[in-house]
Amino acid sequence: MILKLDKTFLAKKERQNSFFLIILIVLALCYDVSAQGFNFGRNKIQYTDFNWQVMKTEHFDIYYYPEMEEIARVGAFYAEESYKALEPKFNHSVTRRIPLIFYSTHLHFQQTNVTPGFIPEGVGGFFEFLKGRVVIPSNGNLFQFRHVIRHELVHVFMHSKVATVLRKHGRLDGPFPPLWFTEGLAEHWSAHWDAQAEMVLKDAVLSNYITGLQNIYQIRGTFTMYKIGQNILDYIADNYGDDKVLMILENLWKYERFEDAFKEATGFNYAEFDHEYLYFLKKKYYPQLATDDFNSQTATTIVHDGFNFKPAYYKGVDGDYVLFVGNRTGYTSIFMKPMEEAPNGVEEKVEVLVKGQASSDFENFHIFDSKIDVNKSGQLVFTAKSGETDALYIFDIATRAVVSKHYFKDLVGLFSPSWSPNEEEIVFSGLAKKGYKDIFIFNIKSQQLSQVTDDFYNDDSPSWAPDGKHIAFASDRNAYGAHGSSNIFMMKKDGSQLRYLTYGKQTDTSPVFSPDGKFLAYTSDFEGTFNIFMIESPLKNKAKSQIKTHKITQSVGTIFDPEWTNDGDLLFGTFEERSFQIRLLEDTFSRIDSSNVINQPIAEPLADLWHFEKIKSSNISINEPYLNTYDLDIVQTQVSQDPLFGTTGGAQMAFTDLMGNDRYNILLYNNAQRSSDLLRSLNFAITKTSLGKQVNYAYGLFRFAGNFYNPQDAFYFEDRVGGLFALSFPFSKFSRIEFSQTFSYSDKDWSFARRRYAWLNSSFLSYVHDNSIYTATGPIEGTRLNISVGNTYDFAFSNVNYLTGLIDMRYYLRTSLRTAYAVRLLSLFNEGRETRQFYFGGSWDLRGYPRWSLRGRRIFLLSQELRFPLIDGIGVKLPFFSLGFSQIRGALFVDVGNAWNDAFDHALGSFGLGVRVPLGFTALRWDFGKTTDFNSISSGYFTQFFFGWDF
Amino acid sequence: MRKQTIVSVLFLGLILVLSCQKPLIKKVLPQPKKPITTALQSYTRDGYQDFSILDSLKIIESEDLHGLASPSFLKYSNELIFTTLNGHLYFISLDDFSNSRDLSISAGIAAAPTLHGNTLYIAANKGEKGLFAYNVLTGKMRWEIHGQLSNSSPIVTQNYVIHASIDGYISAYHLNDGERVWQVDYKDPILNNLALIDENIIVASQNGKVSNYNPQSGYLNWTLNMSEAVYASPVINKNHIFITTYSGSIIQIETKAGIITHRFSGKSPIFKTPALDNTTLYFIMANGKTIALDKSNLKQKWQTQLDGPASTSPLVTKEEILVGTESKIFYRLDKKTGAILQSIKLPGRPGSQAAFYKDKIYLSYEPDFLVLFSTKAENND
Repeated sequence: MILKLDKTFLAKKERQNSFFLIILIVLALCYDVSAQGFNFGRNKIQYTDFNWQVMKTEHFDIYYYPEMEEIARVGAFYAEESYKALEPKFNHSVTRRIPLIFYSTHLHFQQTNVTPGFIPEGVGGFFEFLKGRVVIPSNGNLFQFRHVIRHELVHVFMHSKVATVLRKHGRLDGPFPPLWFTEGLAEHWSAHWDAQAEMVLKDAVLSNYITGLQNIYQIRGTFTMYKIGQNILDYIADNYGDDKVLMILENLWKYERFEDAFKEATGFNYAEFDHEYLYFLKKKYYPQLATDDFNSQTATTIVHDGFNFKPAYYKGVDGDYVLFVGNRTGYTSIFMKPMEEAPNGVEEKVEVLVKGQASSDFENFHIFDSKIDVNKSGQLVFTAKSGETDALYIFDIATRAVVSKHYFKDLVGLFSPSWSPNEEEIVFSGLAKKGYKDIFIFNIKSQQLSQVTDDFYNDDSPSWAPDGKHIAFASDRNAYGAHGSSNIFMMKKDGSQLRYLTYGKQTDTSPVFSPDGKFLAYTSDFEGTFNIFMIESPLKNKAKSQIKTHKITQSVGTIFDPEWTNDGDLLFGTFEERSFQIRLLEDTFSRIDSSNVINQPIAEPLADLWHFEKIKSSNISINEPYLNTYDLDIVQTQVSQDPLFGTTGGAQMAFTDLMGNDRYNILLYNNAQRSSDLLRSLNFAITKTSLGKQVNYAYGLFRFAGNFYNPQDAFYFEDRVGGLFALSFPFSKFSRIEFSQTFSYSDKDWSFARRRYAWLNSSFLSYVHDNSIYTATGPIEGTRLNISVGNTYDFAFSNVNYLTGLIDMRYYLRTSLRTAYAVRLLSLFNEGRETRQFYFGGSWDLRGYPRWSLRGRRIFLLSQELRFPLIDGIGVKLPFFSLGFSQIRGALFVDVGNAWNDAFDHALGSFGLGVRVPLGFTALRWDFGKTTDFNSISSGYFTQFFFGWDF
Repeated sequence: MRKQTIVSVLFLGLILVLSCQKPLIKKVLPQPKKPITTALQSYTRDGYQDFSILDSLKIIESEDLHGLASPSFLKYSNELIFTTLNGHLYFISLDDFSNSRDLSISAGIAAAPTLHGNTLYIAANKGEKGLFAYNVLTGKMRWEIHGQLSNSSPIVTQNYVIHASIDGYISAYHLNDGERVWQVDYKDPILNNLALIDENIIVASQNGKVSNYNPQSGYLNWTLNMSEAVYASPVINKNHIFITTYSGSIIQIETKAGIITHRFSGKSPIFKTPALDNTTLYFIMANGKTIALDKSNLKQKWQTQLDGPASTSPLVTKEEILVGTESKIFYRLDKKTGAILQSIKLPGRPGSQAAFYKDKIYLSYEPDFLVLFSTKAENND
């Protein structure tokens, strides 16, 4: 389906809970803390217990689980086939064994620990550099599976080739190919130019945002960049030879810049190439405007802003509405809007019907893959990820409430539900654990689920006919399915009388019956890009020569997901001007007479269905359960010098298993100032973290010894040795409970001749909730909450005994697309014997006061901000370098709080203006304002620079 | 009396004059030792060395170099000479395999050096200078040429060294002083070796232009545009030139007339120069398929499948073909049947064509090793 990316780099940041950071935080809690350093983040949950197996073929180690063994064997065949195809293209062999990790569904794939981050819906697979692993989901479509396998193997080959070329010529590093080239090459050598690629490039040219190589960095990471990269390499291959593409890699060792290697291979620098290539694109696409039109010119725009998909028509008591799945603010949700024209980007009355990505019920709506449907009674049916699998929801529009929610055993993914005319049944496409997608019917009254198709073909987009007896759907069950084509089929609801409605090498999808059943509309790339076609009398089982198909639209922009209204108009989704709109084609029936009739050969009966090949058993050397094997991932050493505390030197190492489920961290360092202190100052920590199950846990041993200073204790030496255990139980993606337990022996020796021994037991319990979304500098919508309580006591000598509590609540109210009101309430306390003090003040909490200048056993803070965009982009271009910043944001703030020990004296405050400049890995903060003790306001202004995200 | 005086004076004068001449000392100059070279020194680029291997190869030694040896080795006196891809020039003693000379010449060298008399002509493909003339006896550079970076082994003919640059210039320089005698702008990148037979220099450029030039004058004899990319060197056998292409074709061309006489169509790119003996042409495609063709009519004799593309040009001997592949395997094949006689897995990809001397075979492999195989062999050179 549209926009299946293989790597997506989102502008919006999703923070993920890094469980192993808990260890450091637990240990830090034993010492001095700052009020900033508390843990939020969403949870990556491993719901499913994968019983991993490994299959070794000639070049690959393939990891899979038993439910998907057949698909794994198919994938193994595709992998070896791709290896043989890529060897001559790269003139290179990859001599290490390549780990391939397969998942049967995208929801399973999202649980992988091979990458710590969250995997968005549009990511179809990835290759990671540390262990050279390739991770790919199947998701029902074997052609797409094969394509992604080859795409990722191009990355594997390219990395190996570049490393070999550099090494052969004695270079340790060189100009690594830029992203447009790596992704463009992966598509160039794994796929043909298809309708989706054509859609993206054509829009870029005709909407005047096409960019050549000189400025391609401006669209770095976007799908448009991938497709331009692919097209550039296609162009070079077609006009100058595919060998030139390989020569670019062969020449890399000679240069410091990729452009120079490009120039030697092709004869062009970027400017010269752009001059020729961009002109070629204009000559190719501009003439199409003589015959084709933009949908914005020929159809009524109903929904314009943001990204909008999957329209569904609803006849309400007060008018016609369109419901759709979209993303306008950062959360993918289901929206509802009156079916009125949206003039020139000004939209009103768009209501969030079902908010997604903010709660465990509606984690995701499969925005690219799953349609929604509304019946005459005003009930919306849709599917959403909820926990381990998808759930089917019935939602009453009038009451704005979920009527029912259904899970189906053995079905992981649910797609494109469609109401039967009598509203008693729902047909949908279901993806099973074994990885095949078939048609199912759910009877609401009996709660029974029946499977209608049962094979490896990818059956999708089912649509109920008005007669209640027939179902049309899209499937690759034809002779060309192995090459990615799909056609429209009709069958009776029990699966019998299956027949073609369309036939051929094209991709036909999204069939939908007109209200009277006399026409079936669908979209097809029969003539290059997706347009709307209509079949007359689809319910009549005619001889193949009598099936009449009309081409209804002649659109420049791509059209998908047509949906009838009661009046015979067609709503549809379209891609134009870099985004996705919903438009209305009026008077559809009147266009039929003047439309082109397409002659399509229809194969009858069903014949020449394609079959996949699997790896032969003789080509598998080993097939056995996976046993954890660990590799060294990182070794890092560091030496630091402090004028007060002297020199510290040490190293840390991390080992993980192939699945990323288990990790060993080893930290070793020494801060002795004299040789006689070497043993005394030896520090270490060894932890094992397990992330493979829903409950994550960690345990380890540590010894931390050294000189410390804080204003409360002055200088002291503390030697603490012990063990820790921690676990994290996520309830959902957004909330979790964390528990940690530490036993340690502490020997604390103050510089003022006091010494204390203690056997410490420290237990902490936290509840964390986070459903916030980010802009470039900090959260803009959602809620974050951390409530923690803990007790530390000396169970041998009673020298220590204190209770610690924390509450940190943050709420972000979106006031417009780019502005928000943010409020934070923070309260900390420590009560008991030898309690620690908290340090307070500075850019991260009470602004206007020097960092950590305030301290006490209790802290209170209330911060409020109004966040807004300040400068969208600013840059300086000098002859020899350029410097630019974008998305600079501002904030008006008011802070109130203080730190105290026994009695609260008075509050301190500050107010002013903050500026935040995103730097990618952090933000540069500048705050400017005045302080107050609520009796008077400071005469002067303060200014503070620091780093860090907004709270 | 007067007559006698005159005769005496003349006689004395004659003795005086003759005795003032420098004495004629017969000087026997040391004759430059005839270099024994390996196969690719042959300007026909046929990749043939006349020896027989009688026993399996066994690794006996390996040497760690400063770089990966470029395509082929030369033998001079008792030393093995070669360059490396990162621009070093090596002399290795054949007696004890020790490193006797290691010089940094330039930033990159792709082609094998050419030895003529006591001078090594070395083409560089990175840096400021593209051609060096190095005196092997004195260890000093005789002359150097700025620019003209090259992937081609120089060709020495009569008094000239012929040099082809990557950007498409073919030049002839005087052997003694490097003065340019003639230059042709070929207008197409030249990424491989030129070939020479009699008075025909054969050029095959990246975009498929094949030409025949007179080496003395630089005059063009003929040109063919094949419109197929060419990455391997042309190979010449008597009256025919063999060109291999990126599309997998082998094209036979009459040397003098420039007429295509036969063609074989393969399906996979050919990047390495084929090898040729009296009857057969041997080549490896990038998909590892190794094919032997009758050189007279390009009919296939046999084919065999190797593991991966070739990483070296094949060397053909009396009975065998020796070749390394990208999958780090060094193969011995029976050249009559294509049967694999021996395959040796190496720690790195072989980088050079194998070279044979006195029961030993020399081979380089990644990243920077030179390995020595021992075998029983019969040298027919």
